[in-house]
Amino acid sequence: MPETPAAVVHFKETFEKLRAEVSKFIVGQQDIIEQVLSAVICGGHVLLEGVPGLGKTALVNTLAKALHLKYQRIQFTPDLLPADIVGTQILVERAGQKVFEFQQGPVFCNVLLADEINRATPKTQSALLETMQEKRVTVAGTSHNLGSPFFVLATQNPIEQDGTYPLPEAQLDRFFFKLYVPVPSHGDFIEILNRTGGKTSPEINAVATGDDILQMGQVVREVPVEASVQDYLVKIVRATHPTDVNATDRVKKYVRHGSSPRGAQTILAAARVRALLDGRYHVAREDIAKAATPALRHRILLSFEGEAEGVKTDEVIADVIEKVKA
Amino acid sequence: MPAHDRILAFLSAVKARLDLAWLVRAFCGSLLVIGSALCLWCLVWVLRGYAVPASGYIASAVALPVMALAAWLFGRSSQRKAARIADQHFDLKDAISSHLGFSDEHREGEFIALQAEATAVRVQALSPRSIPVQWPRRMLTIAGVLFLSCFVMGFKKDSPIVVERLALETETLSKSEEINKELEKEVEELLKTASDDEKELLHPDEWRKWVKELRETKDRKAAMRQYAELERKLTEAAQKLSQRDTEQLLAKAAQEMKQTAELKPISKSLEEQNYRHAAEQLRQMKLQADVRKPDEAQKELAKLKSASQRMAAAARNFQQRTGQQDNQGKGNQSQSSQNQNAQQSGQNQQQSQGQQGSQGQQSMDQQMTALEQSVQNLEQQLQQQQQNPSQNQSQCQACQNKANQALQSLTQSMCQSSAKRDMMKKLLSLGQCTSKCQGFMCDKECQSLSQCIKPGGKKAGSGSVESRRAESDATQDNGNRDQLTGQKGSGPSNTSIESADSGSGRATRTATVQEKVFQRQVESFIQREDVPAEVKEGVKEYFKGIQQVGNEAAGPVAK
Repeated sequence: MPETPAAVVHFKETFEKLRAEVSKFIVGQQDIIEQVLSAVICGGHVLLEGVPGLGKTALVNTLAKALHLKYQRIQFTPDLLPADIVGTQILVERAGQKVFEFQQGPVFCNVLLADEINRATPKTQSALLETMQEKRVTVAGTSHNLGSPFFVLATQNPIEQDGTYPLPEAQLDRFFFKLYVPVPSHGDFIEILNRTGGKTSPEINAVATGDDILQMGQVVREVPVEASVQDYLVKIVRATHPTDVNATDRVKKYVRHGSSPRGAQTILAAARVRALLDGRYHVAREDIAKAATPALRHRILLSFEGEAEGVKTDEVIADVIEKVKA
Repeated sequence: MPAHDRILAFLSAVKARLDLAWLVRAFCGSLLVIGSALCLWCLVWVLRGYAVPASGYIASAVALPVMALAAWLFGRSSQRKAARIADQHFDLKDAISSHLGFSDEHREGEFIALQAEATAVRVQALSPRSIPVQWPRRMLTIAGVLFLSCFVMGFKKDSPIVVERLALETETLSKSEEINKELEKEVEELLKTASDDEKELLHPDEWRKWVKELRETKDRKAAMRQYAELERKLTEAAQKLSQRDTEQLLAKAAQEMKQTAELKPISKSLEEQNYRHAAEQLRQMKLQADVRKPDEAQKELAKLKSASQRMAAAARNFQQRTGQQDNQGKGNQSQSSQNQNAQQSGQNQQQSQGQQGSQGQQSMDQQMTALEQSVQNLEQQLQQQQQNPSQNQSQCQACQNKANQALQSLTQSMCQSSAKRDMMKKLLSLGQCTSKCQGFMCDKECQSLSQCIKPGGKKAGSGSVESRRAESDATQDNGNRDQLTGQKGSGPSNTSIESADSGSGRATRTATVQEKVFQRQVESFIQREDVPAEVKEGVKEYFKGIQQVGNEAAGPVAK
């Protein structure tokens, strides 16, 4: 039997180190941690949604500490301007001459925490579009590349409606995953109190560098996918469109627009990560089904009827996964 | 051993196991399907009262393995399907399917090799025998119950009604065979015994076709229908040969000839409707005397003249009765009823008429008047020749030839009429024979067809004229041209109320008797279903009232 490649070993070890380091501070939430790490490895951005106090920001802060990467945090507010994010031209005196010089914004980092992203105006939110997709910033006609790896970890609060601006569909599509941070269990609550109520808090060490993350991303892309599994993935994504032949009754009734091909790319990447974590060298249908929900939930637009009846996109996705033949 | 081979070996074992499991399911499924079908089949027979034929059980026994084998062959797992099932059963998370896919796509690389090796290692520890081969108990139980019920139903025998019906079918089949053969024989005999004149009127191929169309059947109604149809065809053919007008004309001629003593034999023949014999007697009157000897010729002509005058008188009488004018010009254009009948009587008849030439186009009454005319012309010529013997010889000879020709034409027509009549008799006789065949078909007491068809009489078409005197002659016009059809209770009442002058007549019977007769008639009339109950009651009350009045009236007189 051929030996496990060093890259795969490195992938698993690094992943487990990161998980363990984050888990030092974050109690429970193992699925969330794994999915956030998966998105980071795949170079994707994550939108964390949950009520205040569940540890969304703490999770990102802890992850940033665990990674030996440049970390920036932006607290989104309604008066935040795009220039406050991407940077601006400022007049400086150099060698006796006054010249415009580009002053980099907080976006020039590796890990960006966009806290309460839905509080910024759409104009400011859109400043992140190019950043998230192209991983560069264009100011005054000049493009400036961001560091690599780069990923945005955004948070938003679902219960506050006043003074918030829902993210446009185009921006939502840029996020690799949208994760709902659940309320901790009874045991996790006690553990949270124990960990945070003492004199000292857990010390988080940097266990991975940017190169480690990029190397892990390369390994993920090598995991092969069989044609029938890929076919299954495409069927699921296409079935989220109400006009597709495989669309379920629920999709036809409640969905206005289905997922984009970017959704399929996301699922495939996440499924590959899951396969490697499971010790497999191939993607299974089970991986596809598991990755589908966080990857598609923000890419499916409900119709007016769906919104009115309070239908959740997670229910629609579960219905599609159940009905589409494997 | 390479990882790929190990995986394939495992997959083959899985496939064999799956095939075995499918064979079991296919067999049980076939058992259920065959059992259901057999049970249904048995039920159909039993509910109809028949015993279940053994062929169904034999067919089921043959069909069961064939169906199971066919189902197994068509439903066997492919390698891909086996891989999917193995993945699911052993929780391999698409490992074998993915390996097969990569192998089919000839994909190579470090991860592919790793995947194959990891899969091979995993399957090495697995046993295909863990895939269950289960006999579906519920299916087997249902199939068992079905087969058991089929087995029980197999012992049931035919019901008495069915036994009777089967016997009837067998009887009908044998009878229809016998009848068909008999009818074929009858037709052939009829064709064989036909005279030359009759043969001209026959349609042998058509008749043979009719008989050949008859088929042996178990269905009595179908058999009856086909014989009734044949009878209808024969009757229609006979009706086409009908020549009532000609017969009436010849009857008139017979009456006329009866008045002359020397023509009585011809009259008798005509009365007996022996037209052929009458024609022979007329032919004997052919003029053969030398016209140069007018005396002899006139003497010879006298009898023919008398006959022609009588026949012409009858013809004129007939024409007057039928509204025709004895006009030669019109006669050619307007067709008499004889010609109409003749035209309808089929192709052979038309051919025979065509052979007679232009004279053949004339009706018999015209031929009679034409004969009289010819005879009169000849007589005039002979008288002129007596006065001047050297001048009119050629004209006399021409007139004589013309008279002979007219006589010949008339006798030919009479012979033809005779042939038609004989032919019609034979057709009607054959129709009667078919009718008797229908009787034989329905009659259980009749042991053989010959008993039923020929209970003592002569065979079809060979009965004597004398024997038919007492019977109704179907060729005679009885005036019933309309077929009466109706529905019970829907037609008008045949009773009519006649008004009489009150007090103008004298009763020849006593009033009591008349009243009783009238009462009986009316009471029987009101028994009809369509008479309302109130009317019935009213009528009864009416007669009771009359009787009371009568009794009251009679009382004081008695006193």
